[in-house]
Amino acid sequence: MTTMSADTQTFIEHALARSEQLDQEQPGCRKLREAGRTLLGGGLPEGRFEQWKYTRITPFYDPAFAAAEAAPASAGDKKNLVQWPQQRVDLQLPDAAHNAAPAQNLPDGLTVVSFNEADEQTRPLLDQYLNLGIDPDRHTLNPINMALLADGLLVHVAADTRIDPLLSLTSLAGGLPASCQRLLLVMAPGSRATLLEVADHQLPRNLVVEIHLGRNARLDHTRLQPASEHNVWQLLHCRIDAGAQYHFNGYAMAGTPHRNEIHLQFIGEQAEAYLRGAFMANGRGRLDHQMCIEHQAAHCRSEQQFHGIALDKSELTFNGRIHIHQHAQQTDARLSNKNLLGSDSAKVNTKPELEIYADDVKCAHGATVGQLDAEALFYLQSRGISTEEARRMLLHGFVGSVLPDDDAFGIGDHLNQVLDQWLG
Amino acid sequence: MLEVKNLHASVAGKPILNGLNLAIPAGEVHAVMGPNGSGKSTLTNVLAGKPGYEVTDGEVTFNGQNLLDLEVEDRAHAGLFLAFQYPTEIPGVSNMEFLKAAIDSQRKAQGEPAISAMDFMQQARAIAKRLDLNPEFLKRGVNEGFSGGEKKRNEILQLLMLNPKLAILDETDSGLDIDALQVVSDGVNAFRAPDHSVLLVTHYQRILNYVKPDRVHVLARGQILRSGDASLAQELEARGYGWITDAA
Amino acid sequence: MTEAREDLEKLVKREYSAGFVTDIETDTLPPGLSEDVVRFISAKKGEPEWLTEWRLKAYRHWLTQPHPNWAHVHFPQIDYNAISYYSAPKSQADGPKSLDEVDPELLRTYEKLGIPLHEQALLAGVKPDPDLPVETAAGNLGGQVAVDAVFDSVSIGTTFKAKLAEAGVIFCSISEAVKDYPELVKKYLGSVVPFTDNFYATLNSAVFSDGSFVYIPKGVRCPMELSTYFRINAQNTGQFERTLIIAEEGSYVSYLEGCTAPMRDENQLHAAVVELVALKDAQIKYSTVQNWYPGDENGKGGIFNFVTKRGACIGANSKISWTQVETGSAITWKYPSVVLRGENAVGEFYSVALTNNYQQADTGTKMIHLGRNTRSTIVSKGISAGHSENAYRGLVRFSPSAANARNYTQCDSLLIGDRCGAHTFPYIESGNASAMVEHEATTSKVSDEQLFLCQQRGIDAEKAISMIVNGFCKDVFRELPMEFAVEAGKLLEVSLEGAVG
Repeated sequence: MTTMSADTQTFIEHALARSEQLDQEQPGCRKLREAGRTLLGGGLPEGRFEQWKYTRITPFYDPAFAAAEAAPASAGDKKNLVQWPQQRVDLQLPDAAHNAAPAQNLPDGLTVVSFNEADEQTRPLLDQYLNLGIDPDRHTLNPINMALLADGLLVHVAADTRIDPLLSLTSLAGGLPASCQRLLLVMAPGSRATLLEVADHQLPRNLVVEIHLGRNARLDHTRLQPASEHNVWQLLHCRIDAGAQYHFNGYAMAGTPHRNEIHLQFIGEQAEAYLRGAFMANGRGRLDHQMCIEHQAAHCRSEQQFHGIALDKSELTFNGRIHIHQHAQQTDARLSNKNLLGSDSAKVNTKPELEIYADDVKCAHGATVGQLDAEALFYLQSRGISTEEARRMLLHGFVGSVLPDDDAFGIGDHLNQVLDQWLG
Repeated sequence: MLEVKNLHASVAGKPILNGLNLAIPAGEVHAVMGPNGSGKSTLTNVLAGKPGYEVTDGEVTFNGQNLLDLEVEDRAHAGLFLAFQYPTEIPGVSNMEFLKAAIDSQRKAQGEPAISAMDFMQQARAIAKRLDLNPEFLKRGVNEGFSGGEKKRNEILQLLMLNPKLAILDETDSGLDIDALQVVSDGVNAFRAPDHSVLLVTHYQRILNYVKPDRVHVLARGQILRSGDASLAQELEARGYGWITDAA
Repeated sequence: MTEAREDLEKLVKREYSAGFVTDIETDTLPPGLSEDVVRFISAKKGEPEWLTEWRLKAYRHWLTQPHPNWAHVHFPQIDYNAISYYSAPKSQADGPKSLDEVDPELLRTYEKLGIPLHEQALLAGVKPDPDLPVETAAGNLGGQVAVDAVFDSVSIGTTFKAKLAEAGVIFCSISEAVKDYPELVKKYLGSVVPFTDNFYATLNSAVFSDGSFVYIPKGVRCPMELSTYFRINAQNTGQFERTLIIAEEGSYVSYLEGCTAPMRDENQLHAAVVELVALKDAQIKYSTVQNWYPGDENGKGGIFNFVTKRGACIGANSKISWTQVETGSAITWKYPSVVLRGENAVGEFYSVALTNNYQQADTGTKMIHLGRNTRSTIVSKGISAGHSENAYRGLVRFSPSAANARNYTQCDSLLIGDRCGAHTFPYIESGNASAMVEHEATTSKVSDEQLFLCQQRGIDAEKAISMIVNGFCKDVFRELPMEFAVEAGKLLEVSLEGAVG
């Protein structure tokens, strides 16, 4: 850190100045920004180090984040990526160019408010939960989000309340050269909700989603992240209290590059998390996915199943870390990561890690990298199916095995379309 | 051979046995029957000395020795054998290696030299054959990947190899088809001898058609509520446990 | 539940059985490292100028290197100027004429190490009759085994030289090889592990004092197992040996390595480099039983074992197989690796790493696939007990040229007690679509149920644990030469004492 490059130093200087400027314009997130500035003041890491072994970190220090002037607005490409249910609550993440859309017709027990508009009722939630438990050494780009956040969105689900309409989260595009956004979702004990997050990144983005699941709460979270031409870093940080259940289904396509960090913390006993997803990359796309499941409480269970497909000259990186603390006895943690390489110019890096300090646990992980099963290909061909068609079918099947159980939003169809397009 | 007096025992602070009395003379087969949750497995585990089972009162003598004072392996050396309800798997440790270590440790406790590999193999093969087990079975890891029936037959193989004084069979008949039950029963009958005793713990009367008990005891609520001869088992089969547990 | 545990606790507290110190006169350099020290070592060995220069280049490069900090181990900073870089027993220089003249302390050392008597004579530097028929050997390591012993920094002597020479096999200390076979040494030294490779390998390149050299000529199957015993004896010394094994086309060699050190309160540094070169159709099997002093039950003392071992499968159809049983050292940092360059080359790594008390191990392998149809297998068994930390760290890399390459990795951890850590850091990098890698890992414990079953059958807890652990390690022990497999099993038993806490 003593040998930071001039570019990074300039980025930090500009970011600090812009951050202070934001304090004048948008006083709401001042505390978070102050904390962010303190961290940024300590410098930003460079070069290749363990957590950034396969992806260069400096492109994420994009000067555009610190720019004050707005860029010409580009209307977001409203592709119909998923099947939107009628019954839904639309949530829009605010940034320096967009205010949070006023919440309308909210069901009982659901509170939606921007950080800047938080009142006496909601401010204590921000004070209690915002940025709680996020390790700045592990999520090195979070300080940029903190320091440069103009506004964020707080969603609160009241205790023992079930929100039936889908919570649908989208980001507005344009208006800025780059944007920092943040969601804080607090699920009170016994609550239940479904969240669909379709992130259409039309500009460089630094996005943090924080989720706090109270005792016995349940969240079903689906995330679709289409390919993008911009650098995107996003952090999903989820704390899971006793008896709570978190179901995550995430599907991401590579960008230039994309970096997803997901960090789950079990903080109460007998909680469960089930994570599934697929990563797909073509062209020169790069996607770096960093998972960490931290078992800090006993009797919890986590299951992860992620499939990756790398075509053309793309590169996929998957790091799946399971960390079991000393007191997290009777943990049951499993991880499976399977990858297909579609060309000799594509690359897959995977590292399923275990870090275990408790003895009475069941832990297993497996990872494979290879090509489509030759036997299966042959079997299909022997039934008269063309090579291309057989390949396509097997790839659909490979993605199909990690889709959400009911696939209510038609994600499978979308992914298959993308694959078919990529395969030509 | 075995005398249990006023035995009280609890698991995780919860009392399970509440003043159990039982005496098994040498050469006899006693069946202890009872409904689920009556304390059958607690009785067998307490006798074998399984950690986690706390004796709060009473005494148990085994051939004149205070059984409760002995460590688990010393009870085995004294001639007590437990056939497990759910035999544990030990991956990578072959059945043969395990059995030989068990036999040698018992011989050592009696001041005898280790069994020769030749004698051991001959004996093991003969008994495996009698139990309808492929000799290859001896080379596999202890209970590793065994079917339920194989695990139970493996327990009987160990019983015959170790040749203890008292065999405690904990629901050995559960999960066995009729052929396997026959084989296992033949094994137990082969073990019967004037200086051998058997404590057969079971939920069903079925196995008693093949292994004839000298006495039958009904265990419920942590006590022996009734004892009788073999006909008591038939009565239980016909009438269930309710008439005894309700009356008590 | 706890009874069995307490029993186990009582069991342990056995002391390190190889922890004797040999009290003999040594010829030792005062602590400190400088160009002069490097020159001194080189001069002491009468090395040619190119080697002196190579050492100096390594030393200058080392000065620019930061201390590596990526491994999952923690230890106070090492003061490299507090270490003595050269220590040789004096008795070698004196050249005793018979066993009677040999320093009895030295003989006792070998006796404790279990080296047969007539070999002891050779090792102690007794001059004539280097090739007694094997039958007359007072003891035997279970077949014909030629031994090279490295005592502190210096190779004491090599046995069976003449017999090996008949087959054309060269087995000598690397110092002798520098004098007698300079072309071979010049061609291959640093060819697999360059002096710039890593901090410790660079240090070793500058100050290595001795080690073993093996050359198997074309088509020769080495007639016996070759073996090296390493022992650190003097205080405040580091041991920096360098081993170089070259297997020419179609040859075969099996090489065994054993290590011990005395019990000392302070940490001692062992930074070795091993280079293996396998040409076309050649096979090298390299087995290690590492039992350096692990420190006491409070983590005081013990060897820092920072070792670089790498083999290059240069030729087609060549094979390099590493098997290691690591029970010693306060800290182990080693990754025996294979670079698979030739077509159809095979790399294997079989490892048992056991840590107890406050030991730390960060060990594993790298399989670098460059050639077509190259294959590798990794089987790693980690056992953690006490307050120890045990990490597997491995890399499997398929370069774009490695068409149809295959790797299978099985990585299992066994925990004994809840104060220890078991970690797995497998790096997998694939850049070839037709290559396939499969990695599996599990973590389990010695369960109370397993212990109870064994005890009910009359087997005591200590024996039961050792049986269960041996069962867990079976896949690796199978790969060891017979006499080492027995030793390894015993070592585990001793090392596990007091394992449950």
